[in-house]
Amino acid sequence: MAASVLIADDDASISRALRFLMQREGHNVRTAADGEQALAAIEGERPDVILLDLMMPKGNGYEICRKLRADRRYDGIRIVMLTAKGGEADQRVGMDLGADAYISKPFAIAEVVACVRAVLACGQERPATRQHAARAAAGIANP
Amino acid sequence: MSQSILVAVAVAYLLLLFAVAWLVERGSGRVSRLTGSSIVYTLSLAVYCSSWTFNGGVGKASQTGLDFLPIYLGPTLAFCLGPIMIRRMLRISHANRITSIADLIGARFGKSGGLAALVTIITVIGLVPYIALQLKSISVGFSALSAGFGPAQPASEPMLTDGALWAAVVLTIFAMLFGSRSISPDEHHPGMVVAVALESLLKLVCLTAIGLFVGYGLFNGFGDLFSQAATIPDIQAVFQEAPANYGYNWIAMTFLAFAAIFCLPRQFQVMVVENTDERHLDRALWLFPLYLLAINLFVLPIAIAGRIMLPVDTDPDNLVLSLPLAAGHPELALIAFLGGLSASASMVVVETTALSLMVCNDVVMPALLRIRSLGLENKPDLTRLLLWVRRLVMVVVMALGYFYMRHDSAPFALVSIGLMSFVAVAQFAPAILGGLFWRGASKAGAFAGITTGFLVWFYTLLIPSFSRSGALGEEFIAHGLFGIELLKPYALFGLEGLDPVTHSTFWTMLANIGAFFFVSLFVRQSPVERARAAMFLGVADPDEEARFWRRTALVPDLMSLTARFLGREKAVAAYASFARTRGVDPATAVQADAETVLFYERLLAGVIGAASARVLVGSIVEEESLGVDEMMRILDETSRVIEANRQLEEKSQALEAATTELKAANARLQVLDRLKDDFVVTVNHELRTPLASIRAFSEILRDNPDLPTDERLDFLRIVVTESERLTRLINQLLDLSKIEATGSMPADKASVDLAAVVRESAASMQQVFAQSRVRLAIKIDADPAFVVGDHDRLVQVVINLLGNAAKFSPPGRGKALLALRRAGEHLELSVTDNGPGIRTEDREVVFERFRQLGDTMSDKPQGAGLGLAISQRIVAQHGGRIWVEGGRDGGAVFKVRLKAAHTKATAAGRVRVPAG
Amino acid sequence: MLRRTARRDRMVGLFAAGTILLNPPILNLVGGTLFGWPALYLYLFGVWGLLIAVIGLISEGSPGQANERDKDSASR
Repeated sequence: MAASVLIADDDASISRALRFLMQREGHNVRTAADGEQALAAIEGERPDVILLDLMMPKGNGYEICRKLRADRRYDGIRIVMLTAKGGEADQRVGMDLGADAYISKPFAIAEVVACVRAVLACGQERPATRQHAARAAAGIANP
Repeated sequence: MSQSILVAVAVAYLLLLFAVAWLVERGSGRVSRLTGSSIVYTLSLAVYCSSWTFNGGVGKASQTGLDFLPIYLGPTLAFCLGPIMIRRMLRISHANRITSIADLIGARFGKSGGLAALVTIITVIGLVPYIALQLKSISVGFSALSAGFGPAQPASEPMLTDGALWAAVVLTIFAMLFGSRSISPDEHHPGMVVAVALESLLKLVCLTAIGLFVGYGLFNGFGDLFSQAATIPDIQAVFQEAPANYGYNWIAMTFLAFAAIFCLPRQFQVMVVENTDERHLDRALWLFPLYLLAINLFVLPIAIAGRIMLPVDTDPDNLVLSLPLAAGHPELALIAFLGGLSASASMVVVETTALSLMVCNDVVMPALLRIRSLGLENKPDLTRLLLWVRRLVMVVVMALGYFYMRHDSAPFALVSIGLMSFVAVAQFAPAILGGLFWRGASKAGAFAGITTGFLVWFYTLLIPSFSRSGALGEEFIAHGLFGIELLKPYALFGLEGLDPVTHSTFWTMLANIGAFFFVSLFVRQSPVERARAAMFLGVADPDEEARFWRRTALVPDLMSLTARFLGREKAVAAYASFARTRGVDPATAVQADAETVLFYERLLAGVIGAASARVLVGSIVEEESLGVDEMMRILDETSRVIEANRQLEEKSQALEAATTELKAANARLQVLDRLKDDFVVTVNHELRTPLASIRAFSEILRDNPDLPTDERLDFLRIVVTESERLTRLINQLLDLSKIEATGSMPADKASVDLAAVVRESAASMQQVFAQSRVRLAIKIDADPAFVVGDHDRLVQVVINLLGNAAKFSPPGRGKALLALRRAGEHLELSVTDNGPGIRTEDREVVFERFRQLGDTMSDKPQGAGLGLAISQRIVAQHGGRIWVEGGRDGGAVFKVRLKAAHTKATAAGRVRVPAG
Repeated sequence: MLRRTARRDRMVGLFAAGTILLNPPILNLVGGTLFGWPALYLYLFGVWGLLIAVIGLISEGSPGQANERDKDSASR
């Protein structure tokens, strides 16, 4: 099942790794290096999943997440937050803003793959359940 | 106008006052709320304006022009000193429950009963003529208004039809009802005060009404009045020329009035005793003088009109009544009469109330208590006795006044009699002012001053007033005592040319102040006096009084003593609230300590005066008075505490400033703390990011052995690059922490040639510049250029700066310049690039850790954003300065300035502590 | 604290000024008439009124100083 994936990360290396992984999963992949590019990409063509880095120039992950969740047009988009901060509090903020999953760097590639699969599988279910499922998936995949 | 209507109106008016006072005392409704107002307080102070103002002022004005005014200017000047003088009187009186002027003087000078009695007796002698004067004024007004207004002389009337007698009776009842209604330790008479305030209002309205009537009813405005007056030479002489006799006379009257405003018993009563809130004084300070001004505004016009319109033989003191009568307006005359009646009535009531308090507390009760055969100590309830003594005193005072009036209906004008009383009470001014502001003022001094002053008054003013009215013969005045010319009462020691009052004021004050000062200076104060003086001058806290006497007693004894004078209910209630404030259970406390004894003494003092209270309490307590030495020790200690307190208050301002500084420092610290947190977060982020790449690609390589070689190599290259990045970051962090740990000292101190450093650094960066396609130029103007420092660290700084230049200069057409020159005692190193430059607002923050320009992590540079931070710290350790400027062509210029080493002051000695 | 002292000093100054202006010999310098009114009458009441106004200004304080006065009384 090919999905449209947007990778928004300002670190070229990580972006490259994620692109490789998603392409290998068979998804269509686009990348954005900052917040503005990410929003432009979302406007241009609606992705199914966004892998969203928290700390980016020109609009960080929180802001993008808030904007997407406030806009009815983007209702079905899954958001997987990526962060190098790795704090519990940050994770909670990300979830509260409506992210579907939260992965901290450095991550195991299996974790990312499983997580994306999980959020895509959740389809049209209610957000709370989606979160639960995503977290469960992430939990299993996480060594 | 028929006499019966007049009587009816007067009685109706007095009944109205009764009603108001009664309503207030009953504490009902809106009326009682008046008591707590500063306006009522101010108006009650206007009891100062007796019938003397109302009738006498106009009379005097018609004879001698404006010299009635000092009587009102004096109080205005006294009120200028109100915040100092009157406020202190208020505080001391309230703290010690002082209820009269005699009490005040007695309490100040060692709680002396004798002094208080002396003051009381002088006051009574001095004031009886004054009260007589009020009755006379009522009587004269009554006669003038009643039918026919023939040449009625009050003394010739039979007593029963004499208006003054009935007025005296009614006013005595009024005073008895409201001035001695019950016994209470604070001696507040709210009903009386409100009635007096009402009367003051009426006085003002009446006199203003008459004034307007004169100005616009009898003349065409006041301009017309004055221009008519100017045409009559007689009158013109009085009103327009400044008479030469406005000299000493004017000054003496100003002084007398100044003293009277706080020495007259009735003024003390309304101003101090009846004061319920110290803040009322603030308002009264200007409102009361304003009242005085307003009530005097029309006095001169009325007087002039009287001179112009009425026959020459008209009684000048009756002009206010005669004018409207002559103009055919009896109703206005009635209003004027009511105003005069108000003036007299309020004065008489308050004065007798105050006098009865003084006589009862300071003369009668001490005497009665001393007569053992009466057995007063054993009577269970003395409140009724106290009340009846007071009422009796009122009757006696009023009777004295009445008979003085009937006897002394001599040609004395109202103002002259009033002034005589003023001189008498002014004898207390030196003792009061000295007592309040001079610590050395002693009891003996006060005694001497008041006594000599009074005797001189007696001789120069009172006796001659009797001789004038025929009792002693003119011989005495004309030729002096025993025919000795030097002893002529109106020209003592040959002092001629002054009017009697001025003359007497001069001599009494000279004698009084002189005796007061000299005796105070030469007679030692007793320990009790010193303690009291300290308290009155605010050197010691009034509540510290307890420390001066080690007195103990049994609470039940004290209670039964107090209950006898105050009534059991009030005594119990007062003690209960006192016990509550001290956290003592009133039911169980038996042994009374010194403070409790003092409380009881003050409670009693409010009822029977400080001196009697001291004697009474002394009779039941075991007292151990302190020796002089111990007393002085405590006083000095207290003074020290108070002085320390004062210094503390001064310091508190400095402290406040320090607190503000501290707050700012704290805010800075919080910012630093937050920066530290940010730093940790950033380090975390910066470490995790390359690690994430390394791990991800390693796992990808592990899981995908079938990757094409190209891709494989590519991924491996990324892993290596990211590892390098991680290593670099770790190195820099270590560097930074090492620099911060060593603090201000460079690790390695030696003489370093900056020129060599520049060359070395440039050489090592050659490759980087080549890669970035940026041209690097070097310009060394100082060679060699020695500084004291650490060679490796300085190289690190230059490399950092060069690295930045290489990074930010546009590839291809980038140009960088590394320059070294001498600037005075310093060496200046600069690195210029032609990159995008740095915004002015960012020029400070670029040196902070992880601070990179742009938003946050716009791109991942070679370093981790620590380069400039490290450089800044290194330079600071070398006692130098690093900063950034804008270049001429838009790029950035980083400059480092270090102290050259050839001087003795080495770089290490002048180190700037790094701010971060 | 300082404010209170300043206020008291001002009042003392006012007392001195009033005493000088409202007593001889300054008083005796005023004579004759002004607009048909006795000049001394105008002078005395004028200075008196001014004195009262200044007392009022000092003791009531301008609205801005009201707070300080409150603080004063609170600290008593």
